[in-house]
Amino acid sequence: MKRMGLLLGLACLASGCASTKYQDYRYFKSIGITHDIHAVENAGMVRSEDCQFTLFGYSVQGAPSFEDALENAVGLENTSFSQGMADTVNSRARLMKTNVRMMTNLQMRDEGWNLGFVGRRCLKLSAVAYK
Amino acid sequence: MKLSGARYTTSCSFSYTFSLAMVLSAGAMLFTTGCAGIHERNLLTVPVVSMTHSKLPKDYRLQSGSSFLTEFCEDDRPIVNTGKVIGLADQAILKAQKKHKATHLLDVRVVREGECVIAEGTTARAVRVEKRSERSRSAMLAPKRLQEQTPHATSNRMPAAIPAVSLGKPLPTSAKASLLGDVDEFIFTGDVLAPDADAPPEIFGSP
Repeated sequence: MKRMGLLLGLACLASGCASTKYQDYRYFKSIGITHDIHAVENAGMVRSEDCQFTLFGYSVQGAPSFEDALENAVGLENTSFSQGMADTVNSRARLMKTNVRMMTNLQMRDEGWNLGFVGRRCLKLSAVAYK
Repeated sequence: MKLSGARYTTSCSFSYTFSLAMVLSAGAMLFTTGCAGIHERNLLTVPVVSMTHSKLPKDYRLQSGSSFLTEFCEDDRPIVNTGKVIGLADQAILKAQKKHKATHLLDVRVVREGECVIAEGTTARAVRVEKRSERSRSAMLAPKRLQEQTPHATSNRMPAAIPAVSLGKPLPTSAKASLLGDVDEFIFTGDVLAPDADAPPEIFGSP
């Protein structure tokens, strides 16, 4: 009986350890801000994040946005949470002003904390920018 | 006493009914907003994306193909094994690239619907291009005019492949200028750009 319990415990532990975690994004080899992705100049490594607070599990301003993290990455002010197409187009227009044409090796990581009634979710981004 | 008891019961049932209605309506509101949130959420909208190619050399251009629509759900087997953490948008894009043998995807929009991610856009391949000379361009557009200018040119090959300078007779100055001048037109050669060395071999095979 003890042996069975031990086996079950081990099985539970193993299944817990092997559980898969799903994220919206994890890694992109390259992303073009414009259709012309003939990059000329390496603008260096960029890191940024987009964070949102949650109340009772519900996001106050929607989920952390990839587009906002991109904007932050190139040093633009985070003005709105872009969830719609129109906002996305505006985001891209702002990005193009910085002359960043593309980004390579984009790595995204979900981070945050949750105290039940209040929490914070962040999407952290790191990439190499090209102009 | 009995009456007061009845009153109490009535009041109690009323308050109970009232609070139940409140809870139900609040639940319905939460359910509705929750469903609206789950229904469709925009994850990504980009002009170009690739999971296999990082740079595009100058002599390569993107040749667009067909439109695509792929779906990847949490229960699906990953296209590329990325360990414990799986990016749903990554897998949807990889799936599209693998299915269409595309090096890049154009005008991509990725949305999340519940446990699934849907990607749509246009497939593209990075293909090496060669500059098409002005002469071969005019030959393509008006073959008769070219034959008048160079009467010895009897080849029936594709105009783009005619070695115009070696046709024999010297050409007029204006024609020479048009031959040597840069024209913003390219011919796709068919050489598809190889993926990066660290690209997942599941997509195109080993580089």
